[in-house]
Amino acid sequence: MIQSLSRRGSPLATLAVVGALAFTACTGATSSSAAAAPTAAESAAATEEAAPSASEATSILDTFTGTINVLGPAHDQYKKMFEDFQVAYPNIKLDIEYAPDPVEDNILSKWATGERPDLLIFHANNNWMSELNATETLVDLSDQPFVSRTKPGLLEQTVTIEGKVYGALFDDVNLDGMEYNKEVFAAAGVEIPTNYPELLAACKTLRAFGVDPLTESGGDAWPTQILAYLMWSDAIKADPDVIRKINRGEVKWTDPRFVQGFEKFLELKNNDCFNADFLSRTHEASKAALLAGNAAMYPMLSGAISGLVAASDLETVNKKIGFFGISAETPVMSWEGSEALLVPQTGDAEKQAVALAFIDWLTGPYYATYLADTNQYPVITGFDDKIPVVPDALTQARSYFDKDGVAEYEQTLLAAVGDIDGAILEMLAGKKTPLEVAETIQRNFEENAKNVGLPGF
Amino acid sequence: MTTTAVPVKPRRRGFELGRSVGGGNIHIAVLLAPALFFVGLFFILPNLLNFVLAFTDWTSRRSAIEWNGVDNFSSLIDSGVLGASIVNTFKFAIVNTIAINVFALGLALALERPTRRNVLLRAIFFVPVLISTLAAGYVFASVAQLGGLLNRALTALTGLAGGGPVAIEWLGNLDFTIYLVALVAAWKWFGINMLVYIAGLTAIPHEVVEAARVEGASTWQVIRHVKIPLLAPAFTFNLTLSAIGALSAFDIIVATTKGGPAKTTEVLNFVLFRQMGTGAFGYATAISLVIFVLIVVVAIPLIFYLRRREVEL
Repeated sequence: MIQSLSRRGSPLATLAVVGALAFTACTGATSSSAAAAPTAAESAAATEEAAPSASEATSILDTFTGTINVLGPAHDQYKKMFEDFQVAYPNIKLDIEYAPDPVEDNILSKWATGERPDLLIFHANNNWMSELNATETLVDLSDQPFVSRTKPGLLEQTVTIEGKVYGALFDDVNLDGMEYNKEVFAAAGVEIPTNYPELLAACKTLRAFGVDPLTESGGDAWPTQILAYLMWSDAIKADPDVIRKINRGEVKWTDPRFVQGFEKFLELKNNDCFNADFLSRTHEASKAALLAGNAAMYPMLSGAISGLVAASDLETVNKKIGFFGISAETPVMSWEGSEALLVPQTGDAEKQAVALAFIDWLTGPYYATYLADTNQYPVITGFDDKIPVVPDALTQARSYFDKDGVAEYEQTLLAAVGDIDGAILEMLAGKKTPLEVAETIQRNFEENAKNVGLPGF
Repeated sequence: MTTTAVPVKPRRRGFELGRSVGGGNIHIAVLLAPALFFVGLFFILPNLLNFVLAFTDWTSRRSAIEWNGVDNFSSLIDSGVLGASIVNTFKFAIVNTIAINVFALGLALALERPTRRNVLLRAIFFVPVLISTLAAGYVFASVAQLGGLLNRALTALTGLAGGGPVAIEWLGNLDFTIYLVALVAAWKWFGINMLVYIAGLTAIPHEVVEAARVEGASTWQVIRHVKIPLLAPAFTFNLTLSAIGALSAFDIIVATTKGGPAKTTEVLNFVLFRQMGTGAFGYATAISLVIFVLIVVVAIPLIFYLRRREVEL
């Protein structure tokens, strides 16, 4: 079972990274935002290229009468998008089902029963695409107009399997890093740590200052993965092929490069770096503790910053909250795909055409409105002059990513690692050693690799 | 030609139905058919399929389904998931079953007489049954947070006695959280058992109780030696249903602990749900089969024992 980073309770309303940067960074190159961003001419060309298909596609939206079934996570930002579509095309009834948390379990359970909506919104990475058995169950979208409009490199590392594109991106990628309370750091005289030894030192200072250095949310489980992943980023950066080597069975999760992530996690726990109720605290309670200054840091996704804004307001978050990248040795920032629009194979050609036209509408004529409504950076070219106001913490996160970024393991892993946060929590509870956590996920991976049919398993 | 009269064996009553279907009592078949159809479609057929699919490598990731023998079971055993979740399930089920029936019997004895006050109290104690389990679970989870109402109330109480603040991790304790959740589930459902016990007590002939009292039996002796033995059918019903319900626990776990802390409340149905959610259908059906077998192994001997006890009494 997978407890993905994507198991997030908060909407992805404010994501911080321009997709082109994600690609250049994850391929190991360092680049500036300006270098990665498309030129105005490129953007215009991309829009122009897509235009004929868009108008073709629009025609079926005008003529089709009937119901389109949609299934996806209950992120607030989707609601207005669907409402606007209904206003634009009242002839099409959208029957939308929002899957509650845990989103993955609920959507995959429906998938298991053979339920195939006309449109599916699901996590954009190889790991989850393999859970859907994408090559057998989803429509190949490689020749759709959005492909050329999407910023370079993004589709390749999120929704492409065996060279075919199976999803359309519309939300920006997510960054894995550390939310922190700037006021607490300043009051305690703590500088932003740039590696694990500095993190451990900061933890001791913050504990002496009288706050919880780190907050963890074992009550919701999924947030506890993130700290371990952060500690892996340097290893993935040093060997960008390491996850593919795992796919091929050449490297195991019990490799010291991964075990050290769990060891550091345990060392932090043994140094009293976490809240006393780390096994049962919920994500919401961790957010509250961070905002209140009772906790100084929270390993989290950049997409969750919007949750802090929702829990308070933009001014408060700008005043109190920052976001930095960190790994074992360097302040590298890792990223993962957020959500993608997928078109399941339903056997209904007409509805399938409508689903494709919907994607074209969202990533084309409607995209500027979507960006403005959701306060995030675009993944579609030609919208860089329409970036809305975002929290300072996102800008800060992006600055780290601009300097140094690495694709999180889920982007390229081809079989699930199972219940990783559950195993981590067992370790924190004293029921497993760091090596046993690694052995557990290796066993899960091998099992799933066999099921997926990865060569060598 | 002579004929010999063949003695006709009287039909057993059980054969009547078969004859009557074609002989006029068609309404019985009509009444039975929908029930048989739905029970067959939604209960018998899935259960039969469960016996088959538990021994396959069925997943969401491949279209083909192939036999894999007992691989699902051995893998679940090797990973420790099956053993741990069975232990958790029994911990939950034992405490839950006992608690439900102790609460229910105690209140049934207290509220046995149908006075206006008792009827009102019965209704009040039945209210938790009407609440959604998820809603009850979420409310409890909120109350039991470290800084929640429960700890604050206890802090207020200990404060009166000069004590310090109470900060118990009700939902984060590796040892007792599962029992606490079992007690919450018992609170949620004991109302039904209470009504069954009250119905059983009401059915006890008044003369028997009166006779015992005339003979000088105390209230406790009447309960111990008259009422409880005569409640045997109610015990059979309540204990069996409670045990089956507890072995199938799921929603209260989702709403309160989500299997935590550190998997100590991961009961079998919760593991099944998560396996199903990640597309590991072979494993999920294997766990489902384990739950089925456990329920049969626990419930059937329990029913036999309790029914035999009813007869003896």
